[in-house]
Amino acid sequence: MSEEFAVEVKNLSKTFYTGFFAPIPYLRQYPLGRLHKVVSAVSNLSFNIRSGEIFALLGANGAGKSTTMKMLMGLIKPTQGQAYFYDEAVHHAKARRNVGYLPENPSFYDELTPRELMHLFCALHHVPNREIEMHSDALITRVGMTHAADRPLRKLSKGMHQRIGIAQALIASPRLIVLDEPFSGLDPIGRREIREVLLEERARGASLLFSSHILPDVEALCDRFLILEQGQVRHQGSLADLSSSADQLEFTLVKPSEALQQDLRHLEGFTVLERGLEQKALFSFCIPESSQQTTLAKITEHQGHIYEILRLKPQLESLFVTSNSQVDQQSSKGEKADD
Amino acid sequence: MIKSTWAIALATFRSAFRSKLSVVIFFFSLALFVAISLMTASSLNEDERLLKDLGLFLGSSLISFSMLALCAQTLYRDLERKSLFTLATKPISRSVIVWGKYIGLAMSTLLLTGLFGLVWYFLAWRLHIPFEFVMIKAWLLIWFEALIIGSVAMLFGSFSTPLVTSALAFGVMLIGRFADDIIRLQQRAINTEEPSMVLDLAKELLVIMPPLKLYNVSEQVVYRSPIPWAYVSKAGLTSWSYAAICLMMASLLFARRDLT
Repeated sequence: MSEEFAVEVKNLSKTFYTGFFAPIPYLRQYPLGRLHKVVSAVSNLSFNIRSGEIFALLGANGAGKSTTMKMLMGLIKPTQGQAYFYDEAVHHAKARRNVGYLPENPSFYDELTPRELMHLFCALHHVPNREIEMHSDALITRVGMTHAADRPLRKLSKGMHQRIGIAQALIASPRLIVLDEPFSGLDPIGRREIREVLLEERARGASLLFSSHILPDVEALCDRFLILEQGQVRHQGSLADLSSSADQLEFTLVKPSEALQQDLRHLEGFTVLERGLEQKALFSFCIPESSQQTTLAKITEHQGHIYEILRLKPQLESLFVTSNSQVDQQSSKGEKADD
Repeated sequence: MIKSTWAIALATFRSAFRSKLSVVIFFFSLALFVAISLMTASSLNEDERLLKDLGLFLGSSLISFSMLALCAQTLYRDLERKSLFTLATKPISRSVIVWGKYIGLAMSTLLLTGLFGLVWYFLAWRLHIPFEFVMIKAWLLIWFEALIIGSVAMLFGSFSTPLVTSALAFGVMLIGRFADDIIRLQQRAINTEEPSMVLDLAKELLVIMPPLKLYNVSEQVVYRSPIPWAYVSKAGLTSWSYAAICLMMASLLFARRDLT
């Protein structure tokens, strides 16, 4: 029997066309219609989320995380590719029957109260009328908003909006919960409470897809992760793979010669660490532990001075930073080539 | 689908009713009615005619403009404030959002029309003008007209900004209100055998323009001509049909749109 996927994404891409004539695809072939900007937000993205899994979508600002989530939730139409929730194409409304979604910085009808808002969303999730009241109250209590249930939303803080957003994403006990920056705007206590709520949901059997910049929370929650950079997959794996992978060494050299720098760059797995160093005299880079001997040999050969060597335990943060540094290097190389 | 549409309509009605804009519109309108009452008080034996004529004109204009303003910005504002993201990702089609929001705003406008009617009757009672049932029909027709204008604004608002939407919907409203005059002008051109491209275009446009003249009955009210229920029913049916067509088109366009 084939494995059941909560989410299946196949070659998903999104290109935005901006400009006066851009909304008319027919005109794009004519000179007037070419007066638009083309922005590739997501390109050939493929991944799966198994049923009951917690999956994190990571990436720097503008990496394409929110665009991906919006495509999955049917807010944006992909330029190409397909996505499925439990084998149902995401652009069908019925595919969202078992899906809860929290957008980034959620905003609601300011004039309504959290209770009225929950009643509205319960009705949209086809919760039977006799259960709406009970279901809404239970969710409001679960996210710790009972004291503010009848206050207009415009009078509530950002953190309270976030809690209400999470509550509405849990309506009708969804099989899949998609959360865009769920910990944004929450204080440490709020973060812990929401993390517990999400773990309870996972224990219930729900699958979770979320994006976050708070990497300790990601490490505490997710089973697998995907790092997006400039709309493309930079790294995909599981936290288990990460902890079993080899350690990295961080070398810092004092004023290395150009020749030494060039030699080091040819090492396998070499990554320059952009630290925004106040003293330009220091040069930091990462290499896999397996390249230690070769690196030391090259430094000795060029009479380089080592400032320090650190052993890095594989962590999501180092992988995240390394991925970003690699992309920065690639883009600067590209820019140089363009120049 | 009906349950979802009604839920959105109710939320939209509550939001509109509690919004500052509604309060401003209501008090502005109230001030205008007070101004009318002062004018009628200073007129000589013309108070009844003035109250009816001016009251209906102002009521019609204010209710139509309120509906136009509310419908022109509802989708855009929700998208800008991102409140649409949670709504559009529920297991409903986008047409439910368009219809729900429209029905909610139509309910708010009905309430506004009712309040205007009450204020008007209060002024009439103070001027010792006898109660006339025909005025209820006139106010009902004003609401029907607002329904058409609102649906046109929803249609343009499904793909455009509030400013452009308001301008386009206002243009349709003007043409709709003066359709008869345009037809008369065209007829005169035909009689004098002066073919004109502009008039030909106007003729084509008139086919799709809403027949808003149908909803202006101030002449009948002032001269106490009867307005049969058959006429009101026909006008209502026309209004609902036109609004339904506009909303169907709005739903189609809105469903194709990227909500970013």
